[in-house]
Amino acid sequence: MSKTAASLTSLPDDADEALTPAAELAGPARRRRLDLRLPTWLKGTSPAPTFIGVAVAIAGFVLIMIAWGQVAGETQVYLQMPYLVSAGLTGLALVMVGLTIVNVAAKQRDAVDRDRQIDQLVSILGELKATMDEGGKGRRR
Amino acid sequence: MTAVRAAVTRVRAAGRDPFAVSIVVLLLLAAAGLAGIAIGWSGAAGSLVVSVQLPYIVSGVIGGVALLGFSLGLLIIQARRHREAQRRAGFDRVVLAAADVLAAARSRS
Repeated sequence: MSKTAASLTSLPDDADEALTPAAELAGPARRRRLDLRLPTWLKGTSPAPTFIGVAVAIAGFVLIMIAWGQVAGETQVYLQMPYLVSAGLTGLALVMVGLTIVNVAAKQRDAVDRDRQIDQLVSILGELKATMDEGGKGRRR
Repeated sequence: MTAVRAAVTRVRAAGRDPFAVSIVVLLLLAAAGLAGIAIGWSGAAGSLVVSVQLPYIVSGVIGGVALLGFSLGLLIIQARRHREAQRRAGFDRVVLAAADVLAAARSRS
């Protein structure tokens, strides 16, 4: 294993373990507190919200198909209108809701990855500071 | 002949890239949405009876708008995630450089 890889593996996964005061000020600690309240499948790393969003959008498309089938089966406009509004427009709304869920889930996953990288960098810099402090003390003696 | 071969190689290379494949699929879905709107319009314009026009509006226009909005939305999300992945790869290089500095400092002390 190279020195770099050894440095990376020896580091804590989380900056909180290495630099508690710095992490208290940062976002990840606050986010973890929020994560504790969320079920696992709703956390940022889980792909479940993305699948839920796609499923909601597919349900929207199915509703539009149902609306088309019902509207095409009627010959009176006053009988077609309720299907158009209840299934057609609701289907359109569901597609937009599904898209929004996918968007939020993608942003959350990106944010989790970014936080992990920043935590890693903060840990490395903390270790570096500690190493330099120790080196400075040794030289003074 | 060589130009065709180079184009085929380029298409094959793009086919191996999941990002390029997803962009092509989403663009095809967006085109299908536009085609749905066009079919809905032509069907609705072809009749003077409102009860005949409504099914075209529901299946063609509403379905087309839904498909177009969904595919373009996913396209935007996909492009943003791709950019974000590139940024993360750059940041990974910074983390590795910092780890190198740490390893050098540890070996000196």
